[in-house]
Amino acid sequence: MSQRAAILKTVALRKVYRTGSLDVPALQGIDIEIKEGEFVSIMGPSGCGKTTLLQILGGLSRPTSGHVFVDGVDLADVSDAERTRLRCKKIGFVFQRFNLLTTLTVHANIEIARQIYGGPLISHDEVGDLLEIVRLRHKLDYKPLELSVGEQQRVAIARALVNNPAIILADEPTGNLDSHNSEQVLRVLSDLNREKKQTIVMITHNPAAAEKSNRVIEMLDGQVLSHGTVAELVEPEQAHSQAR
Amino acid sequence: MANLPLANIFNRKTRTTVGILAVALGVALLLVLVGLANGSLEETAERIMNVGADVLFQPPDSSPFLALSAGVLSERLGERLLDVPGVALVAPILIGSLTKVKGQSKVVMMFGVDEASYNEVGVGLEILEGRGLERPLDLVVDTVLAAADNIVLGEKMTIMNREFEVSGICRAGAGVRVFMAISDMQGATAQIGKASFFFIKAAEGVSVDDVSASLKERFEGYKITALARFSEVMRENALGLKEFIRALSIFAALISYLVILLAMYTTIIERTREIGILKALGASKTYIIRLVMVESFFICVMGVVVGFLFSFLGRWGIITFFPTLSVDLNPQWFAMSALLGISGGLLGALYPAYRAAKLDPVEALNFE
Repeated sequence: MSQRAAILKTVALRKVYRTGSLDVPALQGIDIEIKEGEFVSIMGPSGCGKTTLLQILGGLSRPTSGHVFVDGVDLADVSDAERTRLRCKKIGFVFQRFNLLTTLTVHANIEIARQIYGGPLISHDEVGDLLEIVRLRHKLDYKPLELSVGEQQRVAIARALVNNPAIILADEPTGNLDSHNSEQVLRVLSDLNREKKQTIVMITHNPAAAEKSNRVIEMLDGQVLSHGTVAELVEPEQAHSQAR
Repeated sequence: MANLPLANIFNRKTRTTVGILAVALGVALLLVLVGLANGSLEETAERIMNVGADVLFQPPDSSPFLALSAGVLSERLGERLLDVPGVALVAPILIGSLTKVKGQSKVVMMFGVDEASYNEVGVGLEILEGRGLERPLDLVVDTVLAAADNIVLGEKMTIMNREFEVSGICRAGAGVRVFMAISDMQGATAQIGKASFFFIKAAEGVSVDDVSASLKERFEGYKITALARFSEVMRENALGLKEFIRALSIFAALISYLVILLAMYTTIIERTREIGILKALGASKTYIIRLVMVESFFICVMGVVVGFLFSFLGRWGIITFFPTLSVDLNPQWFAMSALLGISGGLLGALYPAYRAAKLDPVEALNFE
């Protein structure tokens, strides 16, 4: 794994939110490197800066200082428009709250993502193939609110795949799901990582979910506490009880 | 691109309906009010042209708005007009106004005519019921006014302190709506021997231009108008009409602008999260602006179509309930009102679109 190139890298990354006259540090000097094809989980208590880190890695937010490299491009050096283009081409997002457009069908949700990406018009069959990955081909013409939460999350994953991104950033993708649906979503993410070699960075609170990844980055108070496998970082009893 | 705006339009029915109705109101207001202004003018001009004479002879500095004419010409001037080469027939007219019908205030233009010469100079009084102006204090009204105010044959009407009797109902469409003998009007208004203007018929084989030229030569300074051009002359002299129409146009565009601004601004706030999702997917500022503009364009187009329907409905209502009024729905104004409605609406959507494009994706995604 060490011979592979770093597809995501941060150097002395800091983010400070200003609330009124108060400066709230969210990230305090993050240095991480994620190799191409890795499946990395980010864990830590609420408010430790996991989501902020993910948003900066995905170009949704700018750091206060430091550098973020996405496939060798420093996001600090590029314009908003270029950052948007890079996000479009290289990154797919999966959110805890799915963030599907509820007025559109599953098909149209995927179609609009392709429109935004700017690729060729997506055919009905292609949409079907993407939904096949998440085993939802038969739900093509449903609206998101007609689906179960697990199905909605799987549609969100299919949508994230529309531009065949090198990186998938998932912010607590199983946070709103029961164990059965969580298992299905994690299986899809694992398959994508294994079969399509897509780099996956997933935020999770759940050690059982983190077990699917190759590596865990543990955060606390806006800093990286430790790196390692889930087995190294989490007590086996805790992992077992949370998985239940 | 069209998917999401259309889905939003159909999923936010109340907002869409209010937007459409507001644009429609602006468009219909413009069409009906301009139509009413132009229609009344055109209808009046058309009725004068339908008299069937060739030339209108008025005193110097007269207005083509005949109601403003005073009885300053001598009725005997007609004899001198007949001496002009090419003039075949002359009919003197004295203008008056009826200010009350059945106790209700109303302004209706009246012609005091010499029935014989008036009938000769053009189509004349085409009596459909009763008789013409045979006896003193006889009054002829046209079918439109008779129907609008339930005026029947034999009905007594007090005009200028004299009691007239409705002796006949004539076909509407030529001249004015009320006719009396010129001598009765002269007597009632103390303008004995006076006329406001003359209708002139050119002799057979003589062109109207030649007669007009001869009249201008003989009666320098008098206002001589070929009746074929009367509508055009009226429009040219309608002081303030252009300004009125301009003000209406601005008003209609302003309504569209403000309503769409408000509707789209509310929509943007309502859909902050949705915009955040699109931005997270990689949507550029241009994409977001286009999305908002396309949605507002659809609303404006539907508003314009509904506005057209409203204007037809408005015209029907006006003509039905106020038969003496006329609404001219001109194709040129349909195009103009559509342009104003759509451009006003698009302009109104610009600021909300800009605001949407500027939204921070992270803040937008966290919006509840």
